[in-house]
Amino acid sequence: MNGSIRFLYHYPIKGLTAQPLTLVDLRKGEGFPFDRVFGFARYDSGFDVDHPQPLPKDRFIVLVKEERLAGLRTRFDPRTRWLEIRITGHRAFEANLSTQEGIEAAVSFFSTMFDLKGDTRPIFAHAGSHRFTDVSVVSKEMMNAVSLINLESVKEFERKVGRKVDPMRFRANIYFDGWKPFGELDLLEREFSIGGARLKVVMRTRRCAATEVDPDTGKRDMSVPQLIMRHFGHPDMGVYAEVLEGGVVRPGDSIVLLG
Amino acid sequence: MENKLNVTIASRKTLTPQICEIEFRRPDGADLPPFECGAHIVVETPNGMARSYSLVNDETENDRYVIAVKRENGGRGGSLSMHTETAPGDILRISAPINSFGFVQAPKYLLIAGGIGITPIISVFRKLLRIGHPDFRLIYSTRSAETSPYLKELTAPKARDFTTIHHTSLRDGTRFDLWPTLKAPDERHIYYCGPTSLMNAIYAQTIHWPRSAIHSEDFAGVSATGADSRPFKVKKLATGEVFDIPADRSIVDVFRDAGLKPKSSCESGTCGTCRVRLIAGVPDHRDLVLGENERQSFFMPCVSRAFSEELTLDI
Repeated sequence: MNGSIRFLYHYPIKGLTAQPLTLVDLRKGEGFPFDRVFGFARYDSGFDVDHPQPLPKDRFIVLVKEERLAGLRTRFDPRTRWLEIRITGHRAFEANLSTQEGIEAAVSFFSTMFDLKGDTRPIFAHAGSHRFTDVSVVSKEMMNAVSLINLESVKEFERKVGRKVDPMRFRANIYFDGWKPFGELDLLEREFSIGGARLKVVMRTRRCAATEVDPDTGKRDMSVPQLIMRHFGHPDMGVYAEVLEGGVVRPGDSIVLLG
Repeated sequence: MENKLNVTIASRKTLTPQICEIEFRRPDGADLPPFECGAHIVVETPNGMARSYSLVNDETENDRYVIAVKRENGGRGGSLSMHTETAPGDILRISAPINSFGFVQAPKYLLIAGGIGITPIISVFRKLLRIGHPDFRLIYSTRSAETSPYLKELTAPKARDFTTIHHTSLRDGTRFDLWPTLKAPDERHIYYCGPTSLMNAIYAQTIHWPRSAIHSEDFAGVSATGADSRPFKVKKLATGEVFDIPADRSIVDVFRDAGLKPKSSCESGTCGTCRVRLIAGVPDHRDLVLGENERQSFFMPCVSRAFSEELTLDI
């Protein structure tokens, strides 16, 4: 199968807005640069900055429980750690999260938003190369897997349910088209190339209630996991892949199944 | 409808060309069940429908309920019936008050009403004015002065100190800019109600506010026949009769077509009137009413559907 990369995204802060990338320099065994390396962990998450351990997604402020996060348009520069939050086009917050004051202000913003008072205030979590990906609890390799969505599968799903489905509900790193709908799900252990990199499909992506949230309105408006299950007999949309060989990837590059 | 009671229409008053106020009292003049500001009642309209209306009078008045009804010519006929088929002296059947808004003690309040959305808000406003609360503000947005119920009261001396009026017809249709007052969450509790566009705008602009401080009354709700609906069957427990529910009809619709009279009000899964016991089958709960612990045994047939081929309901 021969398709094209349409969009590349990373999510520097887990649960917050997707940030488009015009180029990614993938490294062997690594995920997308700065993908989910920051997060607002729940007070009782057990996160320890000195001994970072993979944490289940319910230990973070994420969309699965908190659809209102989608109502924020966040922009975070992982290098300078400047965070800006916009609401309906208006700037609602900005701070530098490399300072204690900035972190405190951001924690206050989310504490207010989610009624987390006193001891239940969240913690701004980050620990070097550690990633808070949903599948980080599976293995170190999975923690560094990249996520892909075949836009043809999303279109097929749209046809079945008879309504628009924003592919951004699925919060993937790589969006591509040109492969047959849901063909990617049958390619476990198969290798493919994108741009100058070579990857291997390692896992199907089981969808959760985070996909019920419309990324534009911040409302839970569609039972996506149930609908996928009803129409296709499984709850999967997209796959995870491991980077076997590094290389530069850009939108427009082809994605080719190997072997 | 539980706790129903008969009331007499004591008076009717025209508030605007489209909105009339109706006052209910007990036929024997006795006190009515008490209510909190923001509460609503379900009224059985003369044409046989059930409609939710906010009580607009002050909660200290225990001898009467007052509602304001907007005539909706394009609606399902409930409000039209209230406008054209009721007169002082008529007896209507209503529910006891349902305290859905939940008045919360707070150091500050922001009330936002759009058009007929003033009805659940006005009683909160009157209460705050009556108790002399030091810090509250009502933002009231309507098309024009002529279409604004309670405008005179809200712009009277004293009340007007707490009121901001915005008429879109005087501003080239531009809506009041709420962002400056909503940007920074603080001690305020926000109560709001209005047309869907306003409800959506306020939801979006208060997305960063704690939910504990946000109170809204949404009579618009969700729909039973979205695109992800498919046909299924409903078995009526009492008779064993089985009904086919097509993809584009709700259970309540089908029962109504069959000449039955299922209890129903909002038809959008928001009021709780149509609640029935769920006996068998896998429910697709689509309402906004049932709590997690009720979903095993109850079901809202106005919007909810089935994942299984068949449901058995005590309907």
